[in-house]
Order: sequence, then C-alpha cells, then structure tokens
Amino acid sequence: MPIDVLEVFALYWVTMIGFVAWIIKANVDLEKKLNKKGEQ
Amino acid sequence: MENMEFREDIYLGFTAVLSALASYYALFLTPADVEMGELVRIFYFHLPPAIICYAALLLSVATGLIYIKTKDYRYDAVSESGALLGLVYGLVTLIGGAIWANATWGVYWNWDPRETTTLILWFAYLGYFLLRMSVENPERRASSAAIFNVLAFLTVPLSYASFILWPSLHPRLSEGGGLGLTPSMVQALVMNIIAGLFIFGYLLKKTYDRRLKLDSLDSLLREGE
Repeated sequence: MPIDVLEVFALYWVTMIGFVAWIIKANVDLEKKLNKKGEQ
Repeated sequence: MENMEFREDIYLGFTAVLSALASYYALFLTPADVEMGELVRIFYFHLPPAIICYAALLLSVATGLIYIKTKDYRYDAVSESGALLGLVYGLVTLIGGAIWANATWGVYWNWDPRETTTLILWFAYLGYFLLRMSVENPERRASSAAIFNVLAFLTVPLSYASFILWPSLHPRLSEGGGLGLTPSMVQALVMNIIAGLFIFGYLLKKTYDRRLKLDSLDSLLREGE
C-alpha cells in the first residue's frame, strides 16, 4: 500500500475521530457550566 | 413514537462498524486502477469529505435563508453548524487532495482550477466565522452572517464546476479521465459516502447542541449582569 494512501486515510480518520471527541467534550463541559449556573 | 429517543451509543456503534467495513473494502477488496494503480484508493477518502463539504454548505446557506425569513435562532444555529462542518470537511478535502496531487503530479499544489477554487471556498467560509466573531448583537450577527453566507456559497458551484470552466488536471468521473470505475469501486465509494454521512449527521447534531447550550449560557450570564 503506498504511503500516500495511508496518509490520506489517516488524515480523514484522525480528523473525524478528533472532531467527534472534541464535540462530545465541549457538550459535556457546557452542560456542567449550565448546571452550575442553574444551581446559582 | 413518543418513547423513541436518540440512542447515541447505538448510532455511534453502528457508524463505527459501517465505517470500518467501508474502509476495509476500499483499502483491501477493490481492484487497483489501470492508470493510477494503488493510488486510486485515495479517492475513497477524498471524494466523500468533498461531497459532504458541499452538502454541509448547502444546508448552511438554506437554513441561513430560512433564518432571514423566520428570525428563528434555531435555523441560525443549524446554519452556523453546517458552515463549521463545511470548513472542517473542506480542510480534509484540500489537504487530502494536495497529498494525492503530490503522488500523481509530483507537486502538492500547482494552482489547478479545482484546487484554487476550493481554497477560495474555504477562505470565504473562514470569513463567515470572522464576521460572526466581529458582530456583538446576536440578531445582527445572525442576519449579517446569513447574507454573507449567500455570497460565500457562490464559491461552491464555482468549485464544483471549475474543471468544466477551465482546463484542469483534476480527475473527473463523468468522462472517466483516469478513473474508469469498476462496480466494486463504485460499491466501495458509495459505502464510504454513506458511512461519512452517518458521521456527518452525528457531528451536525452535536455541533447544533453545543451552539444551543452556548446560547443558553450566554442568556444566563446576561441575566446575571
């Protein structure tokens, strides 16, 4: 398998998995902030 | 129907299995191309993000226009989410395309019409976010962003039709220019597009949720002032 194919494959999947992880964390963090504000 | 709720774990699990199968099919089960050889496999990870980028931006401009008509912030939230995803998928398309260009043409970037117009598209939507960041008032921000979105979206058909309008080295499916696809290649491509759309659906929902939470937090902070 040429390295270029693996590079594009890795680029696509690292970006997708990274974005999924980031957006889940961002939502969890915001949920916590909202709950904290709601309690105040 | 009322008891049906979005099961994130099942959705993500299904998407992961589908994506793994689609990737395996594309990498190991499809034949090499007569002209490009094994490099044709880049295509399965380059075309899906390009299609999803265009789809995300179409959704963004359409919901932006609905916002102008209805003034409902949920449409502005979808529009912003679509634009953000368009930017991410656009970046993957641009970098993946540059890697493919280097492998086939010998240079990462040669200002080919498709490369250039897609770069213009990307910067147009970067401008969309710079505009959003520069306007303080939420209503003015949403309205001006929706209007800017219409102008920025003009770069989408320009990018799509670039290799018809100008001479280009970019492979084209319609005329089989370097890409005479066999049935199994088409199957692999369709599988990867469908898997990509499932991921896009999840990202769109979560990006939209994040925006709504940011809005709620913002209004709570304003109330506290």
